[in-house]
Amino acid sequence: MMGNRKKLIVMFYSMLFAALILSCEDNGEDIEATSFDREAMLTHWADNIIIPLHNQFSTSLSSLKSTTATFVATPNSDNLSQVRLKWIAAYKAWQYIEMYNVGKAEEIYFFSKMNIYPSNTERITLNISSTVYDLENANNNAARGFPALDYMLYGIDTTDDLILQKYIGDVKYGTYLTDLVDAMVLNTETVVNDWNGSYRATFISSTENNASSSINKLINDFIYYYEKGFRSNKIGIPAGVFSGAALPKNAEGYYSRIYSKELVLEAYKGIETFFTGKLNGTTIMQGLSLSDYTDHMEGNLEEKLSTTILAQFERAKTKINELDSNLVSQVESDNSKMLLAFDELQKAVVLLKVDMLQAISINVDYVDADGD
Amino acid sequence: MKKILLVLLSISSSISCSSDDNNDQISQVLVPDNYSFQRAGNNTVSFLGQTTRLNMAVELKDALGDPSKTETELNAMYLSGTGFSSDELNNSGKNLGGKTASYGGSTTAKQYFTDWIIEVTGVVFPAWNMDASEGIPGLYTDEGGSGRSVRINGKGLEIDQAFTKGLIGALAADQIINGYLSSAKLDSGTNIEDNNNNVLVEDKPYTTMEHFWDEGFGYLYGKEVDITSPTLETGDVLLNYYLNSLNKNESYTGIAKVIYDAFVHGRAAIVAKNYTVRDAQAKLIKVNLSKVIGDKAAHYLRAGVSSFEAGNKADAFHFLSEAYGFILSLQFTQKEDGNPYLSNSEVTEKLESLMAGNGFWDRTNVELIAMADEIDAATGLVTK
Repeated sequence: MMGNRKKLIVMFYSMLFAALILSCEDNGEDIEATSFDREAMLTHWADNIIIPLHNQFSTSLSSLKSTTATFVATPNSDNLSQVRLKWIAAYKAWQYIEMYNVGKAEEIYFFSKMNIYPSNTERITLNISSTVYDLENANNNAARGFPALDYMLYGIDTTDDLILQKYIGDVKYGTYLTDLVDAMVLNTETVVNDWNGSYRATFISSTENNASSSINKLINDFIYYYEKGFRSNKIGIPAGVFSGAALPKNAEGYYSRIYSKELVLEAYKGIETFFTGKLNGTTIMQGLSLSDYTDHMEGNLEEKLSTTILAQFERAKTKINELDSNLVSQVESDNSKMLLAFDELQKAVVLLKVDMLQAISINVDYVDADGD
Repeated sequence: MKKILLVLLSISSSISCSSDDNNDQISQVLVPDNYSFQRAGNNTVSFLGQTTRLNMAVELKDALGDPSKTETELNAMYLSGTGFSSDELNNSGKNLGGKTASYGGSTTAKQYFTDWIIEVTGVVFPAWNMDASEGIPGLYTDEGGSGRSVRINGKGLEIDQAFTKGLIGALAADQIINGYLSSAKLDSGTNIEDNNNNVLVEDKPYTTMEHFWDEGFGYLYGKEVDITSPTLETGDVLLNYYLNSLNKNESYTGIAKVIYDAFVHGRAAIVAKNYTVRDAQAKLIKVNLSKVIGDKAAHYLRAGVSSFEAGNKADAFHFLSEAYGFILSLQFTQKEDGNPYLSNSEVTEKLESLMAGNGFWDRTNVELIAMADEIDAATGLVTK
C-alpha cells in the first residue's frame, strides 16, 4: 500500500475534492461541458488512438505466434532469438493498451490474463508437467501472459543452451509455450474484434458524465493505470515502497532483465499518447485530447494544469532515464534512485487524481485497497 | 533552569485548575508533554523485551505465508523464540508463545495458535499451488476486483491472517489491558511501597511499577523510532498498525492522541505516586484500545459481505480471515465496566459458527451481517 502519510494526504485531498464536487454539483458543469464536443473527443480516442494501438498490438502478437510455431517445431538458437525479439516487440506494444479497460477488455479481465507479475513459476512448472490445466482459471493468471513468456524464454534454466535443451528434450515445454501464445491471441482477438465491430459506436455515443459513461470510465482507467499498473507495479513494488524490503523479483521482465526499463519508458509513451491525444507524437486532430478537455473545463488560467502535468511527466521521465536499463540490478545496487523516480511519479498521481479530476468534475471510481 | 521551568509549570497547572475543585488530585501530577521520564537525569523508560516480541511477530507473520517453512521451524519461532533473521531476536530469551492468552479471556485460546501452525504446514503449504474449492485447501484467485490470490484451508481460512489478527488481542492487547495496566500487576508484591519510597529495581533507574507501565506502553509503541512523537507507521503488524487505521477513520478521530496522552499522564501519576489518577488513565487506555479490536472484528465481517456481493471470493475470504482473528481477540478487551466485549465462550461460539460446514464457503451474507450487528451491540460501536 501507499506510504501512510502519502495516503493521508491523498485522502485529505479526496475529501476536499468530494466536498467541492458536492458544493458545486448544480452549477457550471453542463454549461461548460456542452461547449466541448465530447463525442468528437471520444471519436478521436477510438479512431485515432485506441483502435490503431489495438490493431498494432494484434499484428505484433500474430508475428509472435508464427515465430513461436517455428521455434517449437525446430528449437534452435536462431529460432529462440526470433521468438524473444517478437516477444519483446509485442510486450512493448502491449504497454500502450493495458490502460484501456473498457468493453470486452473489462468483461474478460484482459489485463489480468496478459500481464500479472511476478509469475508463479511453481504453478507454471506444475502446469507443464501435469499437462492438464485450465488457463482460464484465475489461479493461472500468474502463470500466463507476457510474464509467463518471459519465464519460458529466459527463466526456465540458467543459460540459453540449457533453456534450449528443455525444449528439445521435452515437448511439454513447447506445448505450454504454444498454449500461452494461443490464449493471448484468442483473448486479444475478442477485444480487438469488438472495437472494430459494434463496441466503437457504443463507446462514442456514451457522452454523458456519469459513473458508467465512456469518458468517466476511460479517464478513471487511465488514472488507475497510472497509479497502479504503472507507478506501483513497475517502480514502487520492486523498490519496496509498499513492503519492508525491496522486491527485485517483482520487476516487470524479471527473467530477461535487460528490457525492464525499456518497458517502463514505453508505457510512459502510452500514457502521454492518451493524455495529449497524439499517437506517435503526431499532431492530428488537435483540440480533442484529455489535456484539451482539462484546459477547457478549467477555463482561462495563467498556468494551465495540463502544462503542469506534462512538466511533471517530464520530471518523472528524467528520473526513470537515470535508472539502469536493468531495474533488477538498479534495485539491488542503488534502490534510492528507484525511490526518487517513484516520488516524481507520485506527484503526477496527485495532479491527475486530485487536481485534474476536480477540474473536469469526475469522481474516482476505485478505492485504494486497505492494507493487511 | 529546567527545575525552574518545572516549578513554573506546576504553578501554572495548579492555577489553571484552581477553578475546578474536582481536579485537585490531577493538579498534583506533573504531566510532561510526551513519554519521557527521568530520575536524576537518567532515562527511566525501558521496554526492550516488547520491541523484541513485536519484531518477532513481523517475521512470524511472513513465515506463516512461506511454504518452505516446516512445523518445527514455525514452532521454534513461535514457542522458543528462535529461527528469526537476527541474533538479536534469537538470543533475546523472549518468545511470543509464552505471552499469548496469559491474562484475560481464556488460556485455552492459545491452542488456536499452536493448532494453526500444524494446519498451515500440514494442509495449506502442501497445497500451495493447487486449486482450492469447498472443503479443499489451496490457491484461490479473484478474476476481477483486486485480482487477489489467497492460500486457504478447506474452509476458506487464510491462516496467517487469522493468526496475526488473533495475536493482536491474545498478545498485544491482553498484555497491556489485562496484564501490565491492571492493578493486580502494577500493585503486586511490594510495588506500591517501593514506588512510594523510590526503591529501584537492582541496577536499574526505575521502580518496578514504573517499569510495568513502560512494558505495557512497549506492546503498543515498541517499534516507534521516537516515542516522544509516535508516528504509528512503524512496520508493526499488531495493535500499533490498527490503531493507526482506526485513527484515520473519522468516527474515531483523535483516538490515538487520547491513548498516548493517557499513557503519559498515567506514567506521570506513578511518578507522583497518585494511583487514583494512574488507574483512571489506565482505564482510558483499556477502553479506547479495545475499540480497535471491537471495530475491526465487525468491520471485516462487513467487508467480507461486500466482497461476496461484488463476486470477489478471494477478497471475502481474506477479510473474513481477518475478522476471525479479531473476533478471537474480542475476549481480551475491556469495556468501561471492566468486562470484555465478549466472553471466551461467546467468542468460541462465534468462531465455531463461522467454521460450520465448509466454513466461509458456506456463509451467507445474512449470517455475516447478523454476526457483525451482534458484535456492534456488544461493543456499542457502529460499523455499518
